[in-house]
Amino acid sequence: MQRISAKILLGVAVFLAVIFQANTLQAQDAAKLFKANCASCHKPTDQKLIGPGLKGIRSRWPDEAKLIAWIKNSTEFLKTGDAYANKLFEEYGRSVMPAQNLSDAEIIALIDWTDKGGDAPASAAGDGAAKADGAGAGAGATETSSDSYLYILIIVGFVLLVLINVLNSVKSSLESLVNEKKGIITEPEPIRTPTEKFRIWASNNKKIVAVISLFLVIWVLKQGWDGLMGIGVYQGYAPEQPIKFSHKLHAGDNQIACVYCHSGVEKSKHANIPSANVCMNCHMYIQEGPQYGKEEIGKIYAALDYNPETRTYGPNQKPIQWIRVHSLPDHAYFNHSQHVAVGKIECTSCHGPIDSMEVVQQHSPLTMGWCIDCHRKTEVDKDNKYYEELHKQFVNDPKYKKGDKFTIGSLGGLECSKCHY
Amino acid sequence: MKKLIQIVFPVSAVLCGLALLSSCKSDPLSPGLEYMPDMYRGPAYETYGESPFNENGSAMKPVARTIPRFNAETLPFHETYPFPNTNEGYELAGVQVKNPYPVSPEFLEKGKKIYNNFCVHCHGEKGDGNGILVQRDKYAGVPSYYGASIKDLPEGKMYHTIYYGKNMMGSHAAQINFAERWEVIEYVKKLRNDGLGISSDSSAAKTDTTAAAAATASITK
Repeated sequence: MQRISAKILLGVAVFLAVIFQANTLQAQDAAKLFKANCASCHKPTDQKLIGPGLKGIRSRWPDEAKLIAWIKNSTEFLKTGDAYANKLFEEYGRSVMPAQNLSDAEIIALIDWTDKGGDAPASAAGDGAAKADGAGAGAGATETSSDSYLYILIIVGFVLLVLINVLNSVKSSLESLVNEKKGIITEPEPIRTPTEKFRIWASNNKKIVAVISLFLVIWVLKQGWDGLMGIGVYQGYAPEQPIKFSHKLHAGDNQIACVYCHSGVEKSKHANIPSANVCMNCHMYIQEGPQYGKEEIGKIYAALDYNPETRTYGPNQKPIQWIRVHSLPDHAYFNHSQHVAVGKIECTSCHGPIDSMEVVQQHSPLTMGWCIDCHRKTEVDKDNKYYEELHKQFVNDPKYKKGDKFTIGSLGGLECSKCHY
Repeated sequence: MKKLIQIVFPVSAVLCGLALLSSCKSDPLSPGLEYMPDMYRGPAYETYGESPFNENGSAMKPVARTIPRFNAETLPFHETYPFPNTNEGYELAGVQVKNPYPVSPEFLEKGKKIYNNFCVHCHGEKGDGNGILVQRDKYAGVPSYYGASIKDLPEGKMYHTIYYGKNMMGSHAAQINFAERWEVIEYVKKLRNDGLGISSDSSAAKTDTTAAAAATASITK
């Protein structure tokens, strides 16, 4: 009897295992099918895209045959005059769902999978969040490490000083004890104020005082010089922006070209701060970021008065007030297109490793010396027809010596009026 | 010993003091000092500055009746794009919108550059819809140029799609201008033909005309 029941149990277990196996296989297939055929307009969650989110689709379409017909050819199905289908069509801006070349079984598997809200997106989002957390923590640690190192040094120094003092006083009291025992009576030292003590110490150790004061003077002079030279130089300026936009995530990890957002860089003086519609090219779909979730992307929606539920823009739009990082004084002219399109200078040669910056900071000093330095060193492409004539003039100049380089400077790139007018 | 202590004590005190002072490094949140701000910031409104003349506080919007300045060559095409952002406009564009530029290898080369800057992260290097954003699970459902759904897409519909966006693709009209749109469309057609294994340009033109004919037929129906 026991044997039989064991056999039955085993059978049931195998049967269940087979069913589960079949189910998971189906789920994987459905996920693949969904990605290939549906994902450009639908999400398997509540989130609306071009079409409705497909979670709980069964409850909305009580007649499965109708739903299958609708998926197979929506334009034909609309002609049957089905009330719900027509309502959907109007609700989602009359966008046509293309006819899907799928079998009934495939569609049913898809409906099964989407009805319970899919499975892949949640885990993917979780992974992303975890990764981002790790990265964030790492960045924080490196940022604070140099500061905390300094504080540890100061504390250790302080402890050592206290220790020296204590040992000193112990030593002197021991000495006086020994002297007492020997019968030598030492005169108690006269009580002095610390300044008096310091004066006596200084007059006894003139060399040390001289060396220390020399270092102090040098240090003060250097600090003063650096401070004066740093006036008007914004190098290292990394203001907090109204949206925590990460260039590391967008330009680094996702490898989006600089020009995608800064599309004016080859055409105009300015590289362009992208308008919010450029953000929306991707963030219509990507509504949650790996690091800050919906909070930061929500700020784009707020600026555009956009409702991700209905996918409509409201009237109360206001510009995002980004804080300018790189700012040349008004009396200096700079043109991006000239440097990028003609000079073929890479973005990173002036802006530094932008693709690894969480917060953008000014990499180069942007001083006149820095500009001039590059204009002196950079050689011009002689094969460019535009510079052919100028190169001839340059070579025929009586001042020309063999081996002189044809640089921006020799084209007149060091003239005052090139940039100041 | 006493002498040693006498030396160590003051030296370490001075070092600690220096360390404390030098730790007051400049704040990354502040740009720092300027000699004469008046010389740095002119009174004129700058491109991304604020201005009281626009309701939203931005200096960017040109004043009313400003005439847009375009290249003389492209001006005629900038007038207006006459097809509305509807299903009907999409079908009409598919029939009526045609590339006005002759296609040359340089033209395709320019198109490749635009493609690699503006399209590649979703559509993929070969146009198979498997760009880096799809690989990283940020985006899904990007169609392949040579997949069943859009392999017969006429160039007019491509233009319409770039201009207004389609499904989850946004409008790229603000980022790439008229000429650049045609450059990239020709490059996309090349990618599609590569994917479908069609090499000659004439056959590409043929698929376009047949698709256009089909579209006309569907409209006249």
